Amino acid sequence: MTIKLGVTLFQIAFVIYLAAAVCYIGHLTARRSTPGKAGRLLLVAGLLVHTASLVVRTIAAGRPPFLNVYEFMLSFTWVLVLLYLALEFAMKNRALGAFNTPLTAIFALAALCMPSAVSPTMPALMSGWRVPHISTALLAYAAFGIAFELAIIYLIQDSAQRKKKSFWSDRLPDLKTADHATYRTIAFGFMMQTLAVTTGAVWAERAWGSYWSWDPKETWALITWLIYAAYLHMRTTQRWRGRKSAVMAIIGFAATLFTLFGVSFLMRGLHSYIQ
Amino acid sequence: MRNNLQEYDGIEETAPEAKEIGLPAALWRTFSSMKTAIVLLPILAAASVAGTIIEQNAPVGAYNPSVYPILKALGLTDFYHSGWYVLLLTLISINLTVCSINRFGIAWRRTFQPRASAKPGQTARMQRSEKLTSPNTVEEAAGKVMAALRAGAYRILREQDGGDAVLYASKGRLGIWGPYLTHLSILVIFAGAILGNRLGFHGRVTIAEGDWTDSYYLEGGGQERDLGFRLALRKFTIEHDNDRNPTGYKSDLQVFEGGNPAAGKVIDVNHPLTYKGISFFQADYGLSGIVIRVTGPDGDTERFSLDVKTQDTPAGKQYFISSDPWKEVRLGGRKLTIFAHDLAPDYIGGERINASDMPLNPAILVMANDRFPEYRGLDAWSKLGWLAVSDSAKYNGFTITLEKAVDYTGLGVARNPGLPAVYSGFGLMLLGVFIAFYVSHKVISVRISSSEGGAAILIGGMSRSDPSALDKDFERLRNALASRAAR
Repeated sequence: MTIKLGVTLFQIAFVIYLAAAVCYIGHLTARRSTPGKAGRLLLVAGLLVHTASLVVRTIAAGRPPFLNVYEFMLSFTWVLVLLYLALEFAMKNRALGAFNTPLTAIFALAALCMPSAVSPTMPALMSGWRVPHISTALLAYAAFGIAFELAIIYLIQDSAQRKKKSFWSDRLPDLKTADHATYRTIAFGFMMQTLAVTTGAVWAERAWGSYWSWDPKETWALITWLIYAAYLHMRTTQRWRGRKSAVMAIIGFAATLFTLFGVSFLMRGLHSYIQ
Repeated sequence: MRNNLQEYDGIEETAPEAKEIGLPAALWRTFSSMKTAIVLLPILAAASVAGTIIEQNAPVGAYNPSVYPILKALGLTDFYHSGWYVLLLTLISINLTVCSINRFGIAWRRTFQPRASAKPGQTARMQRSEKLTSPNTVEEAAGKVMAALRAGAYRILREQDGGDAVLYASKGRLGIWGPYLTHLSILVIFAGAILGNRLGFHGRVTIAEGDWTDSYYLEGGGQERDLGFRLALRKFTIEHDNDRNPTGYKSDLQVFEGGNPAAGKVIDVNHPLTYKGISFFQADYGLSGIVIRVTGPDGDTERFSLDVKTQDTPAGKQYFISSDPWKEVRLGGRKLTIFAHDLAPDYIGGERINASDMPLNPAILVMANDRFPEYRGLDAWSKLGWLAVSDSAKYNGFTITLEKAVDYTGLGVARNPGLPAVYSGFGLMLLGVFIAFYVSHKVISVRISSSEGGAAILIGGMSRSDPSALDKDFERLRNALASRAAR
């Protein structure tokens, strides 16, 4: 009964997010600030319902919701919205919402298509390292998702400025802000991912006697980490900021998506618990 | 040459004269360059993809036979230990080391030897710079500026340059060392990994209930090695919930040194036993044998064992009787041949017979024939039914009991002396990354000169990671100078 309740709450949250997405997109083109404000209001409301869904799921499963694709995406979309709201507050710009909210809605829809039964916790997953490992991974990948959106905004702004068009330009954050926000978001994500990979390694040693087995999931997490490390090194030299950085941030997110979903669905290995 | 030019958000270091250089110097310069890192990191990332697409360390049959020889020759079947990959890692280590050595001097100077006497041109070219005026004298203005800087938790150095007061204020100098610590940690992790590979090992061993081992088998080679002590399995249990989902795989292990019990632990996945640096991990399990007891018409008993082989298949574990599944016993002047027709690991009876592939309730379908081998016809065999542990069946004065089902545990055996180094590396890396991004090194350079009507103040600011953080500091300075009080 509680499982169904949790899913229903998530479905409601999804619908609210959809409405919020429409408002945020409207905000980009509207003259008044009403759509933007409505978008924020709806997003916060959706987040509250989403949080309720998370809590109900935790109670139903007897553990934090990390253990199958449905649960993971339920948690991932939650972090995505949370991080976005933090950024909206910090940047005082709602344009990012036009990118993040639709993306969140898409992931939420995908999650709702997944089987929502509670998977029993396998003995291999019964470890104190599980929660730190998965929660830091969630934070990292959500941050990389938002950095991806910011990088897209940067490229749109960059192309708009070259063509001297200002249709989008005044609503989107300026180049410097977009560039800097991408950097700070990736820095946060990078720190979280370092935590995720290291806690994963320590856990692997306790479970299997080896902290690194070059498992596809582990290796792809490392690949993602290396791409963002390259991005961060690019920042130190003036010439590599701007467009080149933005492209790297997008490549990084492609690697992130593959690490998250490509490996689980396309490759075998120790991490294929999510079946 | 731009390679040696350090850009520190506006404060440039001057480059040496361009001149003819030899190969060693050219190599040093390449490896001291950030550009090399920006090139090597994506290459390592791309290379790492190869090992996730090509099956690693799989038996020969897993590969396409026409491609396998090429893959093997190029080292692609064990890619992460191949020459290519090790070369890449080595290049990155060299890059890291050279960059760190090269930049150490600058980092040291920036931390411990601040330069108060920045020329006006340099100050003006900093990340942020502003020109302010004040009706106060140079001395009064300097006092206000210093007070404001102190309020922002800056350490201040003051010098006099002619009639000008020159201030150098800095905070968060720890931030300079963040990248250093991170890079150092990578080298520590590499060292730990190499140490572990050279001096450590991975292996396997299986122990049946009631049995013990004093050796293990190396992974990928299967050589037998001595443990140096005895490890016994007292009991293996699978804990499960009502739906037969396993919740624990428990091996009750006991270590014996020279015949005496030394250490003991009930291990499970994620909770290994470590003794003298060697760790034992719960990895596998199975059924190793069945013991059947037969009591004859006169009360005499005979026992015999059936060996069981456990096999992992995509459909789950499967169990086969691997020894001869029949036994002739002679008791009380009579003979009886017992045949184990079938084996179920988790017997629940009824239509389904078997509930799971876990040995939770092993049972044998027993048949008996007291005229074998003279009479082999199918009708000579009597089906005695399924016997689970402690179940008995009677036939012509004989009692046949399934006395015992013996489980075995499969343990991973490992030793890794590099682990402390690797974990220290992890800790250092986290610390380094945090410091690099969240402890921001900020410098504010101020030159106060006398001008018509008071003082002219030139302020320059640099914030390593967060330029907007300077806004507050500049605002504070502006407010301080605008205030009416002399100090």
